[in-house]
Amino acid sequence: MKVGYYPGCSLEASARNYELSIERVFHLLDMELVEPTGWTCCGSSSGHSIDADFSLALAGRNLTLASRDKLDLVVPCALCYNRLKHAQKAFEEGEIGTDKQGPETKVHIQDIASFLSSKEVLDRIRSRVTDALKGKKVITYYGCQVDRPPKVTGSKEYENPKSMDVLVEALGAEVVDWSFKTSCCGGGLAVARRDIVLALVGKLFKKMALTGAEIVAVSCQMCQANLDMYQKELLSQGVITRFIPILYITDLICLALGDREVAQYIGMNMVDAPGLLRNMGIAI
Amino acid sequence: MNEVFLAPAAGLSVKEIEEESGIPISRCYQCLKCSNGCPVTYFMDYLPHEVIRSVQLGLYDELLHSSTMWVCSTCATCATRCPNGIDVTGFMDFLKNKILSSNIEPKQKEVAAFHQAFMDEIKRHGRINEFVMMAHFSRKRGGLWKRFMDGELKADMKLGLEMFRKGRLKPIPKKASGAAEVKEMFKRRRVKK
Repeated sequence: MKVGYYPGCSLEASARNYELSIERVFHLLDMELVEPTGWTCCGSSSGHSIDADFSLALAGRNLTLASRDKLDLVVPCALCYNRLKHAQKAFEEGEIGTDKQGPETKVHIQDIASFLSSKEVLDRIRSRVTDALKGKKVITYYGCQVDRPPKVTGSKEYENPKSMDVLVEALGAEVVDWSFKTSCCGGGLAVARRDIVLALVGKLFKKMALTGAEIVAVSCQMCQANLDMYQKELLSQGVITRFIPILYITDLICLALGDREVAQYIGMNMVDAPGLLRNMGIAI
Repeated sequence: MNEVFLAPAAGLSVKEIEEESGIPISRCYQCLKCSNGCPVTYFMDYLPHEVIRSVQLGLYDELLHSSTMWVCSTCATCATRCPNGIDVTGFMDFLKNKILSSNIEPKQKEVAAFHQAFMDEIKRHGRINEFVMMAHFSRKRGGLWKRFMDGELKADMKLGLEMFRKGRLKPIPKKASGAAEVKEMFKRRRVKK
């Protein structure tokens, strides 16, 4: 099975571990990733902050490329996903100012968790899953950009998304429910206003601590970075009392399928995630 | 008894702003759902519902000198929950775009400098190389000496080094194959005043 794939810029560097983990899952499930030829940046949150119209053109360009290559798109980065969906809506409403030339065919854009939890892929996962994660308490954190605003994303369960919950359950782990699945982590503000991100992330950890969760599952690399990078600092400030591994949903799939290679990618986290998993009795 | 009426201030009218932004500001009846759901109100000078109310009262010009839209994380909770279909998140973009195109000094200079550094990097290489973009931002944001003295620079460099060691930073940018086309798009970009 060939799958159109728009990785986005950060998966080439700061979230390289996400890309490796995605490639691994696709390999394990006998699926092939195909990128649109010549894709470029979607504009991200800086694009629309500086020039909202132009940012639609930046994102839209990639839809044109995907349509030319006859690809639908699975998108891991929540921001890219959000911007591509914005561009698609604008094309449909004829609102893109700078570059009118749009995609000839409608590109089906899916965030990676929705794709992986679709029936066809879920069946593949279910047929190969081991009991590596059995009984582990996994909390799912979706962040903002995959589901909101629903007028753009088309999400139906935007206040309580389920795609990762379905996956975690299929992997044999226990899903921990909480009310902060889609609360913001601060995203890109981490660079210029670290204080804001620390406050938001601190709040998330405090709520998480009340649930007894052992592992956090995410599908957005901005969420991953913000939750993973500041744990040392939050520990020294007394906001958290212990480290918690922040894993990509794809990391969890690899682990549940009994794969050992994913250990190196999990080891690229800032917190010693492999060590924490080993302490929980997970073979890694 | 003297009655006091709040007279609309001078500046752009609600109607003019609605037309330009395409956002129906006048529908707002101040239910406060936007501000109650917003995760960053603590860092704002005007709360989201106050931003909308200010426009209704003709105080648009004052908003351009506030912090609110710069600390907005674009999480879109406000736009999602507004019972009147007002795209509050989109309006934050509208304000940021206006400030930058009218050469007004942004209240949160560092945030604006980050966005600019990010766009410059798209223009240059078509894709974002985070290392180059961060170096560019570091120059743009200024206050290097103060950040050095505060130890902030050292902490940043330590984090950068760890990321590099883990294979998560690429110091040498690679031009994306679509970079030339993106550069062309930047040339054709018309900035609305």
